[in-house]
Amino acid sequence: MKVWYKIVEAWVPIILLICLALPGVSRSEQNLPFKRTETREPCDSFDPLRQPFFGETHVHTNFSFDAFAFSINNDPFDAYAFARFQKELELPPPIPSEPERTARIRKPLDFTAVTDHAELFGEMQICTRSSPDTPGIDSLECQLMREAGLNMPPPDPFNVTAIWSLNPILRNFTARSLVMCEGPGVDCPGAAVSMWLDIQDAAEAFYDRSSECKFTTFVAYEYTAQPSFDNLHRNVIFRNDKVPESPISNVTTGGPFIPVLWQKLREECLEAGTGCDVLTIPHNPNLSGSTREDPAGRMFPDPRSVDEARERAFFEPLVEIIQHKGASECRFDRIARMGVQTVDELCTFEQVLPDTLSTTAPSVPIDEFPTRDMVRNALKDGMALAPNFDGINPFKYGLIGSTDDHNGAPGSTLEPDFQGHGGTNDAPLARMIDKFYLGPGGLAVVWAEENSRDSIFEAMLRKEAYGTSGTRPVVRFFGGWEYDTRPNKLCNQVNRVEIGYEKGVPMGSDLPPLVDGTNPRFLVAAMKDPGYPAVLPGQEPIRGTPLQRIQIVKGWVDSDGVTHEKVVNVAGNANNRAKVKKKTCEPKGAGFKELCTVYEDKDFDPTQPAFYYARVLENPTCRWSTFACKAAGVDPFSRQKKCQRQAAVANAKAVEAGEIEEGDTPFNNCCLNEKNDPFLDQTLQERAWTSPIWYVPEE
Amino acid sequence: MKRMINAFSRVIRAPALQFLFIGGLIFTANMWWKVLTQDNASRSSTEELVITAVHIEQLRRDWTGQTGFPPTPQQERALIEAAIDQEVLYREALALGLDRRDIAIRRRLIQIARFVAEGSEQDEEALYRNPEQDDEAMYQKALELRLDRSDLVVRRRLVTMMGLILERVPTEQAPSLFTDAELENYLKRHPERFIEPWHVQFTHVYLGEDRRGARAKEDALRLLDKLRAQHIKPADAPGLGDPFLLGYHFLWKSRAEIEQLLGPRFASSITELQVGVWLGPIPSSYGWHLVWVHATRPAGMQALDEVRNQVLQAVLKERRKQRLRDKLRQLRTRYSVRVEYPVNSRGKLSGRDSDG
Repeated sequence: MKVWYKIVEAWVPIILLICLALPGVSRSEQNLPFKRTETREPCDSFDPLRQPFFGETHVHTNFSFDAFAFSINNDPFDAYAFARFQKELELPPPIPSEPERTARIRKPLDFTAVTDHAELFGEMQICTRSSPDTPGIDSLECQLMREAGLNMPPPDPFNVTAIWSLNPILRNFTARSLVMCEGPGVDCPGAAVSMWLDIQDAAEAFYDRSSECKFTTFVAYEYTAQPSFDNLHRNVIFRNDKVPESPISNVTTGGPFIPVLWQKLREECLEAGTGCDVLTIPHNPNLSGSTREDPAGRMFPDPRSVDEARERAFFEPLVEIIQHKGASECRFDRIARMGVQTVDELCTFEQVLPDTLSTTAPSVPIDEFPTRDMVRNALKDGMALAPNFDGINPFKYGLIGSTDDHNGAPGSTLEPDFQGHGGTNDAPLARMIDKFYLGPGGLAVVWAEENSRDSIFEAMLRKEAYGTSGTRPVVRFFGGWEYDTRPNKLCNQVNRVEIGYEKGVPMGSDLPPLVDGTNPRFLVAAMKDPGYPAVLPGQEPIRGTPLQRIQIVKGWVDSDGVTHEKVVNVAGNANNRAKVKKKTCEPKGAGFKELCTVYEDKDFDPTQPAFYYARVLENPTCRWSTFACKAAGVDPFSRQKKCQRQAAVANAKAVEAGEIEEGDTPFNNCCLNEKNDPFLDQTLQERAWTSPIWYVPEE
Repeated sequence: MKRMINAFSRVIRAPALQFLFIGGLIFTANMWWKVLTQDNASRSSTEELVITAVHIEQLRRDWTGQTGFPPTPQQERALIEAAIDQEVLYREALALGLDRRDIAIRRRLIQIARFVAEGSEQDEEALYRNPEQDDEAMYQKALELRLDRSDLVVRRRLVTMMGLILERVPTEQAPSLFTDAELENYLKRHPERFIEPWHVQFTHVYLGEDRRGARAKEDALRLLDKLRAQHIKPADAPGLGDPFLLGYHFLWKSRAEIEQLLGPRFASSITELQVGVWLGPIPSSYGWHLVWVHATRPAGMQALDEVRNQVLQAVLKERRKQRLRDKLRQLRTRYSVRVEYPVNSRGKLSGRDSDG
């Protein structure tokens, strides 16, 4: 006993000293479930069981070369003001002689990361934000960009973006800055740093460091690797304000070499000793095409080494499962009655026809579509590949949504309000309808204790996140071995979320170690979006759509290394025959304000690696294209003959108004429906996808 | 000679001629008087500016197209005022020669002229001409055809440019332009824009409509009685209701935030609730709630330092608008404005309100 006292006596002062020496850690901050890497007030609204925060991780402003060329005048400050304060922003008019359009978000976002194209920061700074005596400002590239931005053709902004992106973005094995940077006295790298500092200033100006924690910004940019129009883009999101001096772009890495991006991020951020931390979020695997070396798809290629697998798993906890340029969960062609490694008919959702970013690329037949360009297949393949890479699953992605808006208007995801995401490229209406397969995109939602950078960033790292297709349902998903599967038991417990965490893991995690002889159980609960007020003259409030059902998607690998999937309805009613009123698009039919269930996988095989994620479906509502077609006098719900007649009239009017060329027929798209189109329809079912929970068999 | 003088004096004595002569003197005197007293600035003429009936009809059509309803007399008056302002800006821009100096307008005119020339035989020659010379030729042709006066795109650009020139308050000097007193004054005049809203902390018990159907409100009322009768504390109460995914304790949320999470009906009720008692049932988008408000934080004005940037931007914007308004009023005096209201089928002036 006495010896014990002596030891305590010796150690207590030492421990006290250590505690006192810990810098900047207040008493209440000592037991935070996440690491605080910045100075700020702790949040009033803190919940150890976590709260849902709705945000945007992919938006462009006039700092991006393409947004500027499409006559956008909104900068990162405007974008953050739009998201946080619901500031009204102007969008370029459909025709230059008309007044500007207005955009306003109906509900503020909780967090936003502005992600402009880093490859051309220097050139953009010189051409559009510098004093008239700056070297390089009179270069041809600058003249073209400034004139394109004026919205007074010529030049065609599309051509200008093509010229600007050829060397820095589109080449297969190299990347260079624009020729203007080689001019005498032209300092593109210095100018890039200047723009990068402004981006950081904007993020700081709108980050709420007070205890009110109303809004979080992230310093970020987009790495725009696009070899031959195959999409390999990533959004690079920094944890706090300790960031590299200059962003690492496709030009810095000398071409589309993602492992080089990760390596340089390691050197200049993680190992810089400044407290810098970073993650990268890829998007549009559906448009990443394929090559001979990677026939399954270019976004998720077989790693070339164990290191590469490890780096991918380390840097990329999340992927965008939906955005403006289509959904990437899975793909099913209902005319061919075939899917890409799936028979899930709900996979007609928001599919784009080609498999690359090129606007002239042909649509890809369903049986030739690169399989891993759909995330569900990549998730399956990741488990199959793990044994080849020291057990590291290279495709262990959590799921979020975003928009890729190029108007400086983050979070613009509601179908009735959609005005396009690409400035003058999406105006007038005829031009937007031409891009029928694109859509408003979705939102990123994270479960975090408080609305601050560290809390949200760590939520992203552990993948406790889900994506929505644009609305804001609240969704929880837990997995474990001990949940009570008796009907209406766990779901009726007021502390079900606490039990969810205690007896299992949340979305994005691995199941706890196997309890022999039991099947995994999954608690999933969802509440509908409560709806939106009108915020601009002429708008109507939008009522929250009732939920239709919840499904669980399982993927697994059998003993032969072959992957499988199955989709089951676990709550709600798939046959509620809810629909919309054809005249007004008002949703009608029964649905649910909330759903909850505990699902047990009775086919569980403990030798087979598996993942499970939840997909929550709302009742059908009208797609943006239906609203737009109706506004142009074409009724997508009418019989084909009538619809086509109306489309012909609308096309003729647009030709006469000079909006489209003679012979273009964009309004014919309005007559596409489930009978004549492989994917689209007049209505859609908005949905949410949770990050998966993985089962990894013990060795 | 004598005969000539006689004839002459007879002519001069003719009253008609005398009257003509006097009239001529008066006429000349008047002219000189005008010249002497005329302000230099207005010597460029009080041009006539007419808003034609056709123009007004077009304004009405555009408005109806955009909003779905025809303009009220008030709205129409505003539209006409705006049209006059635009015309004034347009003409002032032309007077300053802005159209000659702007590269965007030049390119636009070249494009239109090229379009107009398309199809004519001279086009073949164009292939062999020097493109720069060709551009200049096209530009001159555009001016010849007065395309710069008829093109709406050019017009709109000139109106915008002129507006920017008139309203310009140099932004680089902005922070030093306004004293703290001026900024505070703006804050006082527009409290609603910078108010720190009311916040509330509450616990709630939820009774779901999906779960309980038509009984939900009844159940809520019964539970409310129980909570009150048994003095159940907020910490122990949520377990007596249904599970709620957003939790049971809301810490310092504003009314707007509550509306975003729980819907408008809940938000409008919660602002009226007293502290420290069980109240309800309050409806939300999901069901019924019994609420215990722990504390509220009243709305308050934010200090200038917290919102300095926003106030500065707002004052700047206000100053610009004021400048533009003042300048436009000044410029309008150079024009004699006439508005021709359309006459409707019954021969009456249509759309003109009683006080003109």
